Formats: sequence, structure tokens, C-alpha cells
Amino acid sequence: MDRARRVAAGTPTDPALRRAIGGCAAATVRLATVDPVTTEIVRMRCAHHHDCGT
Amino acid sequence: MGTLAMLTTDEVIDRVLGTETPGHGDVREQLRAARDAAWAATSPRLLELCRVRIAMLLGCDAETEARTPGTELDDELIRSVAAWPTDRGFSAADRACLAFTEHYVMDVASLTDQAVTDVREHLGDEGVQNFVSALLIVEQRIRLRLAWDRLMGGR
Repeated sequence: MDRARRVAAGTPTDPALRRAIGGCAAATVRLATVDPVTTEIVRMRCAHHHDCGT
Repeated sequence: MGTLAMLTTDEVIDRVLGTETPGHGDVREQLRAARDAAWAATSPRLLELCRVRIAMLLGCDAETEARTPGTELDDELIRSVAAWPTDRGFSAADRACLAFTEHYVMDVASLTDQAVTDVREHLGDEGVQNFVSALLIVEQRIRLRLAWDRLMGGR
């Protein structure tokens, strides 16, 4: 879906907040206790929910 | 009521992730860092009102009743947060952020440009970006807690 930009290009996120969100995501992805199929299903569901085409 | 019902969300996270399972400690530390960063980067007043509203909408009693220290919010105002559209105790900034939050929780993909514009009028571009990021963390913690409550007998 194409949308107009909602905040100015280059607007920074608080550095600590950006690092923290990335850190959470990375630590979660590193977990190896969930099987790959379930992990992929959850990832795809989240991408759909957040309207993320990647 | 199960074993998690009387615990704070921080305590639930510590209990679930405070294990020897590889990687759990790392996730726990990152969740803690994210919590701290969210509250440091955003107006505690706005984030607290939105946290409680999210908890109400998701049916998380423990988070609805919990209070974050240092927000300087009157408890009566917090308890009336569901009435934000008409209650005069809420400022224009409160209303913009609460409207955004309700839409965000219900269907994030359909958030309107106007909802973002309304928040941006009060917080600016950087403020919007930080607010949304903080909201993500707050909502994530509540949803995690609800999932664990259900799986481990919290309610």
C-alpha cells in the first residue's frame, strides 16, 4: 500500500529507544527453542498485521 | 486466579524468562532495557494514560490496576481514561494520543493520516516517532503478560 510520509524524512528516534527495540528483536530471533515452521508462521502473521511487505 | 495473577508484569517476565534456558536471560535484559528506554523517551503522563487504556482494551486487569511511579497523574483521572473523549480532565494532547492508541490497538494497519497528524501537532515529528516506539513496547509487554497468564494460569 502506498502512503504519504507521516513524519519528516530523517526524523530520528531516541537512540536508546531504537537500540532497545532492535535489541529485543535480535534477542528474540536468537532463541532456538521454537521450531522454524512456527517461527515463520508467527513472523508472517506479524508482517501482515503490521502491513509490512518485506 | 493462578500463580501469576498477583504478580506485576515485571515479576511475570522475570519468572518466565529467569530460567537457564539458553537465550531467555538475554531477552529478559532486552525487555527491561526497552521498558526503561520507552519511559525515558516519552512523556510519562501520556504513556501512563495510554498504557492503562491498552490494558483496559486488552482485558489485562493487572496492568489496568498497576500504576507507574512518577507520572504525577491523579488516580481518579486514570480510572476515567475510557471517558477521554468527553471528560474535561483530559488535555488536547491526551486526547490525540489516546485516540491514536485505541486505533493502534484495534487495527494498527488502518491507522489514519489524521490520527498521526493530531499527535504530531502536540509532540512534533520526533515526538511522534518516540511515542509510537514506546507504545509498541508497552503494548508488547501487556500482550506477553496476557499470553503467559493464559498459558501458566494467571487468570
